[in-house]
Amino acid sequence: MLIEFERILVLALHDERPAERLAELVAAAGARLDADERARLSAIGADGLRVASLVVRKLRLERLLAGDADLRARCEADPAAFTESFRRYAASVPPTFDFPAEEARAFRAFVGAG
Amino acid sequence: MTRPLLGLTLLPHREHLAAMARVIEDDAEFFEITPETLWDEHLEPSAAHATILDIVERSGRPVVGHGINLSPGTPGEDARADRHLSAITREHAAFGFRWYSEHLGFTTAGGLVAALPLPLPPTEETLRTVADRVASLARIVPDVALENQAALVALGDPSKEPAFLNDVCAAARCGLLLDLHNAYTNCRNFGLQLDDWLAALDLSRVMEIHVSGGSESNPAWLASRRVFRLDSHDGDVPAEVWRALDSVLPRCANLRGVVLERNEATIDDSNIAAFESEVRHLRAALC
Repeated sequence: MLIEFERILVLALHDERPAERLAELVAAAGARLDADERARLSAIGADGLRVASLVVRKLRLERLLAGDADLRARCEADPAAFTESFRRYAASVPPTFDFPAEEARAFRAFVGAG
Repeated sequence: MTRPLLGLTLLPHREHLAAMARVIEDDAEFFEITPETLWDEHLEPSAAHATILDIVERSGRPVVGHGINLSPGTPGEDARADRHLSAITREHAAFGFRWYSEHLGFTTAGGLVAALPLPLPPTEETLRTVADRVASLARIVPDVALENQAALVALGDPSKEPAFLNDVCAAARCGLLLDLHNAYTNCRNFGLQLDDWLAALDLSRVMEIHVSGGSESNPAWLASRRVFRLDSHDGDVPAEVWRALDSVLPRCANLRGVVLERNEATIDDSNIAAFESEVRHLRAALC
């Protein structure tokens, strides 16, 4: 199924270990992937997947910062601490937000809850 | 054949618009806008919407839409697509798009958001999915084009991408937005020759061309130290892309316009002169 193919690719790209995550997801997909889809996902080069994952996660961070001026200021004041908070957030909260304000609200809720 | 028009992207970024003011006023023959950048999270017009609409109305120049988030390669999810198409309908009423383009890819799947358009596997299900979504879009803006993607991963034989683009445009009965930097990027990343890539493409489908620059990935990102080309729109247009433009222009019989793209955070007073030089280069190529 194309939708499952796409869902697996998105989940892998948002992971800090994209190649390992992709392999896990393909193995767990069972009949939701046909043989052709399984072969295409399994043939993806690890280097390209790694760079694509870095780009995807960077764009998620940029979207979050675009949604809240105060969060942007906090990131500029202490990039290392903010990046670590973002890593925990990205690992815990699924990427379901199209717009910056939504992502920023979800991050604030996560940090507040944590 | 009439001469293709020179287009610039209108981005809702105050410093970018200020730095670009002269070329927007003097050089742009049409504008390209990305509706999603003018919406809030409810898909309603944001504060930037009025600014961009004012520039367009004062200029009296044509506008085309260039969407980034309809996700034409996502099967199902009709409620999301319908909300998006309703917003495009509203923007078409406001801007009067001459044509509308979308990235040939997917940005969402199963409620998950990818953050950028991702490539599609070249399969029959993909062709059907894209054709259905383009048909819905074409009921709003009749002339639709799909843009070839820059990719860091291949979901099939990369040398067959032009054939896949030909198949998609035929199945969806739409035009092609030929992004030359994306094609250059894929050729660099997958070891292909740009001339061969372009020779395999049905250039009669090309409705619009994008020209832009990019950057290289940091070798330290990978244990292999391999470097990938990135479609980051933050650098000068490579000489190979200019050469490709000169090569394809006489062969694109249905071409309407060429847009010089540049990211909003990368133009300011320090480098606007270099960008203006690229605008002059593009104008010379089109005349």
